[in-house]
Amino acid sequence: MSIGTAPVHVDRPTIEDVHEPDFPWIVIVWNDPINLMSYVTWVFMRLFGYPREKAERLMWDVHSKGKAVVSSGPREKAESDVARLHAHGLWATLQKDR
Amino acid sequence: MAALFEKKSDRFAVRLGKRERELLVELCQQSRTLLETEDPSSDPAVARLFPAAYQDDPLRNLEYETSLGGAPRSGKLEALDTVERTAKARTLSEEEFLSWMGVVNDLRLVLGTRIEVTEESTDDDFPAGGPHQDAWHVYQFLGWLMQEMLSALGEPDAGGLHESVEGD
Repeated sequence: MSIGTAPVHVDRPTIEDVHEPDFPWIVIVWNDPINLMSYVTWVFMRLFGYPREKAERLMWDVHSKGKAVVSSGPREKAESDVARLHAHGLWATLQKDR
Repeated sequence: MAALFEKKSDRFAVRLGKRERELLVELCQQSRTLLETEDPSSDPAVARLFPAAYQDDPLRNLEYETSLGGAPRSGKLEALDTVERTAKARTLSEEEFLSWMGVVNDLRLVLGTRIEVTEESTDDDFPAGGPHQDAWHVYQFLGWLMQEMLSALGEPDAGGLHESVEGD
């Protein structure tokens, strides 16, 4: 690294960059009266590799607030997460982050 | 009393009685019939097994379901195969054990949807002589199995981290 006087080129964000976050899709798990709380926590840990503390916090959000955002990413990744959650019996949807 | 399920090195001991195993097989057969004859539009219990991924966008949801093809349904049918095939086993591999847990959870989803359980449901909601008392007892039995299986599993190793549901 040199301490020169050359002008530093700065990439200015365009309008699109500002309004389009990197990961515009979110995966939501909705509360249901059937799945056990301990099972929901286990699924979050197993599918997403979340530590127990985070998985339990998300499970409590689902249980007490009715839903929680459990992951985000590009649309393909969010769809894959939803499919894995559905395969494990959780009620999940994806939508564009607002 | 020994635990109902117990992890022993890389296998899981199953200490279910004969009648409980027979009940499980019978429920598997009913579930198979349901999966083979009904679909989400004809049966709310099946709809619960295959929820919409896009809640407010039927077109995108159709695209999504088309991309998955029959994978979600065949995954559930394969898990039923595994449970029926290993119903009398004294020990299960981890993969078989996870199939058992998936099947038991799906059975709870189907039964719970049928009898419309809520988080506040108690025995009083399903009285003797009522139409759903037997189903309620089976539902509770399956919940007990779930709890016992989860305690046998302990902390998950994030083995499903890279699982994907492949379209076919």
